[in-house]
Amino acid sequence: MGAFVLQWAAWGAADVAQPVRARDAEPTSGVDALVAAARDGDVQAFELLYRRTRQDAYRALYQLTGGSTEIDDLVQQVFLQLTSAIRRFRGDAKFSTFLHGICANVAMTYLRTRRRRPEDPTDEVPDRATHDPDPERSAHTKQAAALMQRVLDEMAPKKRVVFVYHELMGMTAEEIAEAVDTSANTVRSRLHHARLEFAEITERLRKSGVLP
Amino acid sequence: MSAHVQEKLWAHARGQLPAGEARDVDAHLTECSDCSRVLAQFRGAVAFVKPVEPPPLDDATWRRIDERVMDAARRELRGSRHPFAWLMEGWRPFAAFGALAAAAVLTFLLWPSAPKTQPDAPPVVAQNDKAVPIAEPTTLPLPDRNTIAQPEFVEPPPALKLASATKLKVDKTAAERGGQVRIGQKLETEAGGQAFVVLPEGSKAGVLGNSSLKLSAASESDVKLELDRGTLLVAAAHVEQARRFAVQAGAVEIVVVGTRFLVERDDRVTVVVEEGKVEVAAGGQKHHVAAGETLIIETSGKVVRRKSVTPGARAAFRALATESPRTTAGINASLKANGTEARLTELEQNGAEEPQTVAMAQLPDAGAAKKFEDPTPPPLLVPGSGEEKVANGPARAEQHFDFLSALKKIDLKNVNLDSPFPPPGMPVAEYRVHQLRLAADRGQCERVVERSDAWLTEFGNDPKTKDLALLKKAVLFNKARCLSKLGRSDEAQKVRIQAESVR
Repeated sequence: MGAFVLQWAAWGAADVAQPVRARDAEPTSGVDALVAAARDGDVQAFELLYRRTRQDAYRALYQLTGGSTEIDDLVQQVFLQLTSAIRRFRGDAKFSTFLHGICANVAMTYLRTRRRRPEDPTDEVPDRATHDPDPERSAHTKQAAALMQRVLDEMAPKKRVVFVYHELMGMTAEEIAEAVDTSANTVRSRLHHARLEFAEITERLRKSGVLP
Repeated sequence: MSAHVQEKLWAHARGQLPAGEARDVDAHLTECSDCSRVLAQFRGAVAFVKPVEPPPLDDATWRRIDERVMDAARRELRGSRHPFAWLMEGWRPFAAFGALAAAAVLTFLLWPSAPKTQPDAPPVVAQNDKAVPIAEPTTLPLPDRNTIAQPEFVEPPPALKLASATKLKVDKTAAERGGQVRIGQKLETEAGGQAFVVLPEGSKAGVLGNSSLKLSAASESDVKLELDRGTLLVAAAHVEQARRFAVQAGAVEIVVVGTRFLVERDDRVTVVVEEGKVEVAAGGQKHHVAAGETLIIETSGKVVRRKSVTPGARAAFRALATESPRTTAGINASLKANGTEARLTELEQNGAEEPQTVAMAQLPDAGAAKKFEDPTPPPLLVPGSGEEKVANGPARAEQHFDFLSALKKIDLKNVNLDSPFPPPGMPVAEYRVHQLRLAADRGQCERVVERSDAWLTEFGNDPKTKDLALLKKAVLFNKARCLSKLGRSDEAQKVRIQAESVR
């Protein structure tokens, strides 16, 4: 029965094929109360907050890291950081933005320290922690993800974060600015350079035959 | 290169620039080679920018993460926190001091009148005919943590995944929600449309055209779908005893006991059960509908009649259970490429003009078929190893399969396939094929194998048999299907090859 409840919860936030704007993904009711209670040491409130937002964090980390094989560890790191960081959250921004900021930090640390990825792009998307009822679709998704990932992998982490948050997750420059603690103009500038870099890498990889 | 134009090039490459701005940018491009080069680069790059749907993490992984996170949360949130730590943060010490001071002043000022307002007045003692309250050194009770109104944590409403849909009246809403239907939301289809939702525990539900279905409840102990009108098909997963799964159709309530069934609501409610059983409550009475039965109930609750399940309904169930694709090949390809959301978007872009081709095998004898109540005979479904094909038709993935068609075009209404005699006008050979298919559906596999051989002997080489090739294919495919079920896969494979070679 517990699995049934969790499944309901998971369906509430997951299984979205296209980008869901971060601000739309945030449940509007109860989050503030949960955050306030968790900040005051209420573990039960934190658990509810965690269950409500874990899919959002998972989705963000998946996009930021290109479905890292260590995605479960990264999700865990985000919420471990949240347990201490939540006291700093004063409600100036949306909680989802705050959470995306932690996700960005965790992802950037991972991207900077991970070992060089293998050349075969199809090796890059993990199987072990996931279950997909449609293997054919899953394979196609993996291939598309791997090609995009191949390009993203060559981008600098900061540009990558901005690019992913805006292009893949639909966040505005202002939301990204709040998440990564910078100005909206910086984000816009970084986004433009990220697009140029993405396009240049794509062209180069196409010429070298890595991309179709 | 103009910085103003630069910002627009990416949107232009993605085709997201408004027409006026796009014209301005194009005009600029004719005289700016740098921008033209960047635009060309962007156009080559945007094709690779595709949001990826993260595959769901499995339960075991989530459990592991849950445990670690919550262990840390317990340590971090409880362990390191002084019980009155909140009092020492920011302005709170001053506020607390002020509040205490104010409380002391108020207590001093209001004390004499306080007993009058106490709901439980202290005992009084008569003294010279004058009642004097006994002053008690009382303290205000500390609020019990359990009695303090706790903030109400409202869980987000659960959602049903919209597996696929055509001609949805709520297309945009559904698409915006990423193909989800939330509690209280209605799933409405137009004529010829259909929509499928996957219930969390694995059950599947589909509505046909002109239907309106509302997800009324979806909690741990209660799943309730309300059918306002139209046709609902449910292939329920095993229903745990503690959980209630019900469909409400007006005054008629259908409680699921683990089954596959159909509910149709127009001026009356029809409940058709293919597997398992349901309990139908109507007019203050409860009726049990078992597999193979149809119950028709008037809105007053009066049962009109019971009858056996029609083959058409069975075909629709079969399609539902296998979640058959029923869009055009192009859209199917898109589905494979981009998933449900892309298909919803594509359907939305295509509008309601999606082709309604029914590329399923149909017996070509339209003249003979017209003699029946329902003009179109049932399709000859051909089982395969997990991929059903349709006899004499294109591969399943390339077909457009439609429940409405399944119900309206394939249904042999009122044809009793258990009768040894065909209905008037239907050739015996064809009737026997329908009987074989029915038996195969019922799992009477040994009988199907035996009767298939008999059919082939009797009709298989008779040139007078109408539509011989098509019927023969159907017989062989049904035989192969049953051989597979009987574990005789080698024989099944041979029969399947034999069926495919029939011309």
